[in-house]
Amino acid sequence: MDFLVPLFTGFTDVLTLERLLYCALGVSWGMMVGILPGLGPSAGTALLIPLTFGLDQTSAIVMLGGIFYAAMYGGTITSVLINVPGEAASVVTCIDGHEMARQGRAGVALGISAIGSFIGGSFAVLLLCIVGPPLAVFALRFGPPEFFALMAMGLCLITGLMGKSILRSAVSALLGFAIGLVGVDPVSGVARFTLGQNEFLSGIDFVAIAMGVFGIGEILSTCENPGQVSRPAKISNLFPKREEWFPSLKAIARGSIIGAFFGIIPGIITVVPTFASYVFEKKLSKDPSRFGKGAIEGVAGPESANNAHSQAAMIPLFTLGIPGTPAIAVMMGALMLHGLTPGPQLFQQQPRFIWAVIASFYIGNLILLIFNLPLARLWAQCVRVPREVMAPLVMIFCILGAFSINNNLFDVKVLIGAGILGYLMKKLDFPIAPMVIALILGPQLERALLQSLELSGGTYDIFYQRSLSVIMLSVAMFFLVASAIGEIRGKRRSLVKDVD
Amino acid sequence: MRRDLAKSYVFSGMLLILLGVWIVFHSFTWKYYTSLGPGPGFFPFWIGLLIAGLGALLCGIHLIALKRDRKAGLEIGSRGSFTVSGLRNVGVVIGTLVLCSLVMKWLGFVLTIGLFSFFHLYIVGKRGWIGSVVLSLLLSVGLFSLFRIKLKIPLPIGVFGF
Repeated sequence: MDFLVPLFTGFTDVLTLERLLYCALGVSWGMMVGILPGLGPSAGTALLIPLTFGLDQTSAIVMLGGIFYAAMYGGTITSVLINVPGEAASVVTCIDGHEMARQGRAGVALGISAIGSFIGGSFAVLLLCIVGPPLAVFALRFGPPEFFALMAMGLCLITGLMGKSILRSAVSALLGFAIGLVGVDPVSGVARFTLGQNEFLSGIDFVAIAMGVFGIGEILSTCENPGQVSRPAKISNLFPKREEWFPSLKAIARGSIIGAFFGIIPGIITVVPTFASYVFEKKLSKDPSRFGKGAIEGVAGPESANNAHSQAAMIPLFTLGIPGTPAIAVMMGALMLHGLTPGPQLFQQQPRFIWAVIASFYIGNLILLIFNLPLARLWAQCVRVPREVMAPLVMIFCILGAFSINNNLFDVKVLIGAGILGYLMKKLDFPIAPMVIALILGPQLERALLQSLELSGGTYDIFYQRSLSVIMLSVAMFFLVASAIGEIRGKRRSLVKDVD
Repeated sequence: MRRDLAKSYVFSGMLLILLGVWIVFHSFTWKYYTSLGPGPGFFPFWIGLLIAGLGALLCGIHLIALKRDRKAGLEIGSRGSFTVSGLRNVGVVIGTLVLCSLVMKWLGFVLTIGLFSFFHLYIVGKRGWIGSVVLSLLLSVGLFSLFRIKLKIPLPIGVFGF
């Protein structure tokens, strides 16, 4: 319970009118972006990063946090109301959530989602409070070899677990590494791959790439086949019947644990815990035939798992500096843009900031609940925004965002290039997440490798002599080899197909 | 394996081989190893080599699959999910984005974004012209005010002074 005092201090920093307003704004904007089908929390967070420019660090991250988990929740609304998942993790909610809407219980589905998301998110934040500080202290023992091994392990997990083909995932990760090579070498200071452009000396900006691949790439994909948006179902009562409360709360508790467990492991995207929760609830149910026909547990469990996962994924980010999912990678990029380097040092060097951010997650979860319960009907109207209005709006935000990074139109050109790359990757079924995460981790990985080799006088023995490094590199190799063997045997494809 | 995209993967594999070779070639410009350890050419060399290698693997796997399908008389997916109309729509969006990035320096943010949104709302989206004009103005002027005044980000001002 050592965390109570610093957490209380964090609350005193966040509970100011200004920061509450920023949190509320972040939650509102995140909801609006999350509701727009196709954008997802990664694109949504990337798009709205420029809105935090000009704010102090704490206010900026409080707002970004609100954007991030509100965007995760926003996808639920379209899943329930019009059977279109706002992002991949909301696919499961379509199964029973939309069925409930067809039975005139859209409000109940949204209500239990909001309550489940609040409890799941709060549980994950509590876990961050308990596990975060000791994990950060433990990670301080890490030297360059351990950091190299940790990042290699994170990347191998992400490459091995994401996408339908490990070959395409590996190519995607290598592309991210290659893009990260542009700029000045981290040790010698030599300019690499700048093609004579001064703008490339500081590297290719991550935020422009993220907005391009997620935002512009998505718009290019959807503009190929413009479709019609269905009319959303009507919303009336928001709360379940009395006899449904207890089963719902049990499902929420189980979903929270499943989501938080998977959130700590880098590379496990949100789809996995939401599906795991759904399958678990169905197996535990006395009458599994209810599932697919509007079973409330089929909404409560996965939604809790979804939010618990997205917030538990902050644990490896804050304590180890490893972004476990694409959306967290975007958050990491945003943190770095505001002059903060996530990792174990952050808890030591800026404890007040970290605890303020953690406190803001609690408050943000509460604001999300407050916004969603009484304002569910209002959010439902956002679903009606026609695609031909949404597309130029998103593109304009992307252009604005890219320009705002360095007040330079060059970043807009990078945005467009990244958008084309993102579109092609989507079309050719190359997963984008490994590229984005490798782009963030690549320069750090190179730096850690070079520092390790300098320490050891150029020999690679240093990685075998340190037990933590050996363990993490072994895990990395195991995952890669197991994924490759699994793919050859066709098992990996069927698992991902089930998830799809 | 995505057989419907086999030809696309062969093409992508070739591009990756070219990219990898290009990166390796450029990595020779810098020192591979120095007295202090790996030099600036170390990482690019291995990244380039891996990209070329995996590109060759991607190409090879799908060439074998295509050959096998051809022998078995199976129908081979050509363009996969690319269609002419789809590519045209994509081309229009990319074209307007590129044009935007080129002219904004001279026309300024308000005019460029106003014209951009009007084009996409009225021409592409086939919305009514009054609504398109109003929404375009709201977007361009509104966002300019928000970003320049509130967030103090100096958006481009063109030759017309706005």
